[in-house]
Amino acid sequence: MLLLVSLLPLASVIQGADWWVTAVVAIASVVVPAGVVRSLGGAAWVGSVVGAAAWVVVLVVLFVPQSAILGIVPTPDTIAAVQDLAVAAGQSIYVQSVPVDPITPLLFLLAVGIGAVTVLVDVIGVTLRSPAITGVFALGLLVPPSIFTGSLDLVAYLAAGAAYLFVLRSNRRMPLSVGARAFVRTGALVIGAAVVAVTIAAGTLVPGFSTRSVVQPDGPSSFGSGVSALADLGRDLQRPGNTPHFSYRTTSTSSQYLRMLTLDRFEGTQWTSSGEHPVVEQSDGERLAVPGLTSGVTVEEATVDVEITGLVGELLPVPFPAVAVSGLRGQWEWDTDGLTVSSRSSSVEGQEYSVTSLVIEPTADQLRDAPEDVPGGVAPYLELPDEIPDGIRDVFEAVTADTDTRYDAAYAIQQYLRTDFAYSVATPVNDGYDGDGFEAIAQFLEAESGYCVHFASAMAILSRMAGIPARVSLGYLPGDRVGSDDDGFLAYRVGSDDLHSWPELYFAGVGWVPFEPTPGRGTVPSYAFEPSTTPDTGDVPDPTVSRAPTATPSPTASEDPAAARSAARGEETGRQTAAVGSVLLLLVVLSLLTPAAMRVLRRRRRWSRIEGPSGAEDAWDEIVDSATDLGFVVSEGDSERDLAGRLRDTGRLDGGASAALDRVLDSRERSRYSDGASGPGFTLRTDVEVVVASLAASVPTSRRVRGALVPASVLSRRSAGPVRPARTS
Amino acid sequence: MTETSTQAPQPQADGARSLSFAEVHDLAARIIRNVESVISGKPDAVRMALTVVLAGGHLLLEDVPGVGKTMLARALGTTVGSRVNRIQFTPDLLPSDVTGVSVYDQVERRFQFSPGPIFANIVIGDEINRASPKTQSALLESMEERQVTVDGTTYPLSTPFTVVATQNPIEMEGTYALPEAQRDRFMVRISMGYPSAAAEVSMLTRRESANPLDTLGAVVSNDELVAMMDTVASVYVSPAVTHYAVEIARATRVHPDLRLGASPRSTLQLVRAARALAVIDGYEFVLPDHVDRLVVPVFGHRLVATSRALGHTGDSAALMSGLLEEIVAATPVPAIAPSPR
Repeated sequence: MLLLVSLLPLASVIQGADWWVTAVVAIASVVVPAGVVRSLGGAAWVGSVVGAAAWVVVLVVLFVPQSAILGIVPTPDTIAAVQDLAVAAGQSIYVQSVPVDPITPLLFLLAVGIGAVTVLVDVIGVTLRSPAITGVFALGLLVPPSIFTGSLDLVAYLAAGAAYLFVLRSNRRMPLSVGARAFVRTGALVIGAAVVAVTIAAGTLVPGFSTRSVVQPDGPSSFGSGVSALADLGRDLQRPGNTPHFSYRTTSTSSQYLRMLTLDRFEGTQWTSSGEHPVVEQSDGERLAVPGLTSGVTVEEATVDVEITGLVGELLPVPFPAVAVSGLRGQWEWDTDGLTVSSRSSSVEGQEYSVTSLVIEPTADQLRDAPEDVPGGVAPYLELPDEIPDGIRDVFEAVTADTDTRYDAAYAIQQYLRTDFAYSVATPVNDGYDGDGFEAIAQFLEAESGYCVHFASAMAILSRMAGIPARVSLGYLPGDRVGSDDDGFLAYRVGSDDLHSWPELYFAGVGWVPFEPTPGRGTVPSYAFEPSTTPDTGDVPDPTVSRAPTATPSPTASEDPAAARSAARGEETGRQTAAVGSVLLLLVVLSLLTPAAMRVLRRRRRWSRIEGPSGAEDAWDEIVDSATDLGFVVSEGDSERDLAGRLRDTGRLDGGASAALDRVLDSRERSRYSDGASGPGFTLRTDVEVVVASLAASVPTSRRVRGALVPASVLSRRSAGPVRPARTS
Repeated sequence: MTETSTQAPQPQADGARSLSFAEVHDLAARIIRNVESVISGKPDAVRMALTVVLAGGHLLLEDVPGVGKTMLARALGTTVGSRVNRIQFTPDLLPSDVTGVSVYDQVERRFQFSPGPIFANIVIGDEINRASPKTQSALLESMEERQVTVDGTTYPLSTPFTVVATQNPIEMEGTYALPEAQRDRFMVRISMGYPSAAAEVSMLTRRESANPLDTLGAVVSNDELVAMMDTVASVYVSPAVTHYAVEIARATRVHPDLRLGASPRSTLQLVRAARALAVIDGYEFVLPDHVDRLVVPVFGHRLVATSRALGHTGDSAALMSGLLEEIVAATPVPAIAPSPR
């Protein structure tokens, strides 16, 4: 508990809640098994050993299950996988600023570190019985975050101080004088005052102590750092300067967008990734099918070799639709529906890989003739919240009024956005509608100014309203062509300014096809413009892509809606969270049920031995445990006789129960303290049951239920208890 | 200054016969009843006094004058049918007045040892802290050695040998406090306390006619007492209880409010006394409860509190019992801890 509290300040250094869950799991994986072993009578050091072993197993299960036997038993591969994780963690520490995004390698590092500290504290505090020293570790965890953020988390310090005092107090082996006891009682106050004083002193004396952060935020974009969503993308676009992210060479002559993520769920506030699609492990040479594509469509195969130069994170940029990837290091997975590639444990950093992709070139007629029936698997891409704002509905009706087919509707939407709207990164931010939900899009349609996020989101929403399955993809524009090499490959370089998002629409028989509603960005696919209509700038089939004007650095750029961002992060790392969460849930359920189960087991074991030589001991222990469960005061300082007397008084035992208690007490005392054999034990069980029933009858039902579900005899060590009245002359 | 009252009845001398626990328990109950017919309303003090006698220790009764300290000592001595001597300590009492002197026998033409009042089974030392330190130490040395050396000759003292010393609280005038080393020789210190109103009324009524001690008879013979002590010594003390006693003693040695903790000798006396108390209670083995009840009487006069702790209360005895009770409560009894398997 002390450790948990000490971790509070880390919250300011790491974003999101995942890390907290990881920390709790890491601590619980050590403490819970160790506690169980000790409560079952294992020696203190055995508990420490078991705790450490459990910690290792949990680490393996959570982070590198694929390399272990049955996902649990570590193999030599595990060590290699752990090395990969450690290297990735080191790299992300090197490139990320405070606060960092909790990518898997970092979580791994966190779990390793916190688990190790927990094991140490357990060994020192419990096995070596020196709880006072544990405070050093708590302090060690508390202080670094303060140094990095330059602010002291007063609440966390106070909580840690209080927890530390609790640890001291619970240690009855430490003799405390009258004065020391008084200190412990008022300790929280004292420490609180000291912390306040130190904070004030440090703030005035240490130069730069109050500055926002020691580490200045720069380096790679946070979109590239692994957690992406439309809001992140927008923020990255607003960031001044163009950072190179990767380069690629391709055999295709048409320009290809490289995708990292598709967002398929829209719930009114934002586009998120549902993460509900089937996932398969990536392996070299394995070829995937393109969902919805049939043989009637012209397809050209292309090979794209990508070299990542300045990008981190777990999302791999690949052209759409990619069908095979080779040359990757680490563990990667395909989303078989979105055809995106991601990893839970590896980073894209420094990867060089080769992608086989298709260039789909349907004709406009093929799309126009596509049947209107939507396959069941695609139906979720039509879901919209019931309450659609009037502004959006008005636009939808005006734009699609004269269209006959779905393709016509899609085309009309795209052209409406391309012709009437202006591209601006700054306007949505300045006017306060920088987002991708209903509200923001309604304002966007009114203001007619925004950037790719708004265009893509608006078109996807309007398409769904028109009955066309739609989703939003995130990734990169084709980038700048930098030349061609001898093998006929065209070389491109892609940077942060090429970050883009666009809608993809589903047409039966063809599958998913991208559209380009953003004016001045990217290229409009051949099937998405009709020569008969007025061509616009985007119509020119130009392999080089017109770049958007560099976004104006905006002082308000950091004012992204924080809630939307963190929620998007949560969705993005949903799979990790689900894995960690399910393990956590399992631990919680187990730890909730374990005490009650252990109590039942203990009782069974005692009944089975009640007629044996140690029957008297078991009978007595059962009474003690039952009394503890029912909430009677049971102190370690009590002798059998003391406890029996107290139970008799407070438990309002009747004559029969009282006599039964006497018999159990007598045989227990004989068994324990005399040198003769104890008497026959065959009435003991009945006696114990009479006593326990009588005790149970004297307490309210709530205490009986609590005793059965949360047995105190299993959960807590008995306290030293109150001072008993003197009985001497 | 000294008076000798040799006990007249010496019933059947079958000292060789060993007594069962039940018999000792019965005899002890009879002794207590007998003593309580004189000292009413003080069952704990009577029981504790008998405990000391059966454990072969020495008893220190500490209280203000007139609450029945001497009465208790004399009643007990009379009841156990032993030779009882009483020494009234005064500032001018000499060591030889306690131990005895060698007198030149004109007829035999040699020195003849004339035993002092200490040669008895139960020696009542009244107001021991009024004697000079020199005399005090003569008594206290013989308590430990159980022998007296006069003019180079060693004379063993009788068996059993129990000193019941009374003392006024050291804060009172004209007293010489017993040093720690000498207090350590007493197994138990108890204070009588004032009797309850009812007990005081009944005492007044009875004392109106005659001294009740005059009508008090012996319940057991000296030989029987020796046999009882033998039985007490054979009471079983389980390792759990021994360990518990040691834990309490150790706790006093590290307690921050105590300058001097319990000595190993005091732990030994604690367990010895617990044996006697167990038999008196009718047990043939010692319970942690017996140890608990003896911690304050056995340890109370041996420990020394720090002056800082004393500053809090000013009352040494009360502070000590408070501290010891806390220690007893905090020391885990093997009872509640899970049973060893």
